[in-house]
Amino acid sequence: MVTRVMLVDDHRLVREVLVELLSQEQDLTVVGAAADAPESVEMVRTVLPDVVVMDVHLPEVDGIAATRALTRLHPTLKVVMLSSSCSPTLLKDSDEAGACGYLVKGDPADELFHGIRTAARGGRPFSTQAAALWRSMHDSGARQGAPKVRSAPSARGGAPDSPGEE
Amino acid sequence: MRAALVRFTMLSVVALVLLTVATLVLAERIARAKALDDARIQGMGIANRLAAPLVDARVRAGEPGATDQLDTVMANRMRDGSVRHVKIWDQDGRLIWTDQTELAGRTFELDDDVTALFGTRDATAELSDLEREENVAEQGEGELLEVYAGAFDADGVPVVFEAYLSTERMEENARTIVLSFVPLIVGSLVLLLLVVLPLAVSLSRRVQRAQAERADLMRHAVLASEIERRRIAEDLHHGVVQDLAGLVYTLPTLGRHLEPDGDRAIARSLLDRATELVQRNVVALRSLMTDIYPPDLEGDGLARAVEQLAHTEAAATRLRVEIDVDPGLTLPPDTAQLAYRIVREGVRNVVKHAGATSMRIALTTDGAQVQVRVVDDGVGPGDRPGLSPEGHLGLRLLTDTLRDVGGRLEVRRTDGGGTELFARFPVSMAG
Repeated sequence: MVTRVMLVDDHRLVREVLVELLSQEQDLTVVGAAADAPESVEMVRTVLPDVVVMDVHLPEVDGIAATRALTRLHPTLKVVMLSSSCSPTLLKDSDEAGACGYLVKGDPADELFHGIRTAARGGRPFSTQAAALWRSMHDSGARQGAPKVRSAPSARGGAPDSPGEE
Repeated sequence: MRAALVRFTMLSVVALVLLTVATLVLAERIARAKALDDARIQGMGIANRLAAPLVDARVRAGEPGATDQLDTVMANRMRDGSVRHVKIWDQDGRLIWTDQTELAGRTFELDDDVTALFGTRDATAELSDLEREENVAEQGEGELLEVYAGAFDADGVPVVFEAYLSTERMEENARTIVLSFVPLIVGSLVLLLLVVLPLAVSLSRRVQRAQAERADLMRHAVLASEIERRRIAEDLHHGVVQDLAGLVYTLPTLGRHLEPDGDRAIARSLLDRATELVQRNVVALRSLMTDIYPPDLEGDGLARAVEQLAHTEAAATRLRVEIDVDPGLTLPPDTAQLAYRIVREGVRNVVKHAGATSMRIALTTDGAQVQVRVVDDGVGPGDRPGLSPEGHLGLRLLTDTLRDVGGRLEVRRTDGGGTELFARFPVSMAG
């Protein structure tokens, strides 16, 4: 079964090389590439992807707001964040917006393929860095006695799947 | 600042109190010296003019009735209370006459300083401790002035006249001195304080204002540095990091096309793109390095730095650049830094927002003021808030900084429709 992937990134170069890269994989097909949040909402309606790879930093409306809109409009859609930054705030906001995973730009290409496949299967792909941060946030939250259980990935569908785990 | 003023006032009050106390002590000493002088003169007068002429052989022999005239004269003299007691001694230490009749005719041992007065018309005076044997009668009368005066009786025989005078006059004198000097001293000190205090207040206000100005300048400098760091982070994020991420995703594709079944032509084009990407990022990183570590602006460094900045920033947009900076221009370090900051802000705004084809940078000074001008032929400040000093954070901060140092910043539309950024500030900056 082929996974329909849509990309959202405001950097033309990144969009272009990702399309080329993902097109090499037999089980993935890139059905669209949007440059900003409004375009992504419009495009999802027409191309009906299984997985959206969403950049966090987008002009005007950011990727987190776009994710919130997309998951509300299409509850079965899987959105994976792909950003060059990774911070507790970004992780928490993405999770609350309904993203199923968080990948970091510049990690090996295999991790990206793996992440998209995991998301398509209903898993929670997290890059090594994001997964470590999640665990640390969750642990310290539990120690402080006030864990936001709803925002923790484990409460919504198991522990984050680190890349490399099947 | 208030604490310093309070400290100043307190010290002034302490000085005032110390001076007043010193004046009181001094006044007392002067009054005492004057009183002893007066007592000596008074004693000599009574001894020579009133008492001694009434002492003769009959008085000395203690014949009854011989002292009647002396009794009367002395009683009159002592009536006003200024002279409390009188004693007349002969050389043997015998009391020839005294108002304390129980002591008359008795003999006491005289001190050497008293004995020395016999045969002279000298006098000594002191504040009496009244502890001598002969003073039994005077004890309990408080402090008295004791005068001894040498004299010669009616027969020319040496006698010593002793009198005890009240200290009332001495105290009166001290009061007079205190009353005439203390108001003068205290008054002039208070007057001085009244003159100096407003000066101190205005001085402290000036110091306070200068400190506030320096704090403003500091705050703006910190903010400027923060904005600059944020800009560098954004440049890195949107430029170098995205490009390198793209490279990470390009190389695996390239690798696949190098496999036997791959397309060599695609591999070649991807390699070219990767090379160009790396080159572009080396340039970008070098430009960021200049931002992180500002150029040396000492000596003729400013003119060179402005030239380098303008060409580096303009290169990507193919802007025509005209630079008018005197190559020999030297400014104090802070002034040069600010001038460079203004040029950089202006140039960046032109590159990012103006859509211009040419840009002119002028940096001049008339010795007292620096003038910076960055002019372009682009779309002009227009309605875009980004280019009005109110709307652009970097420009707003620059406006504040220039105001801090007594200068100003203007962004206006040129006759040709472009934008002119104009700044003017003192070569020797305040703060």
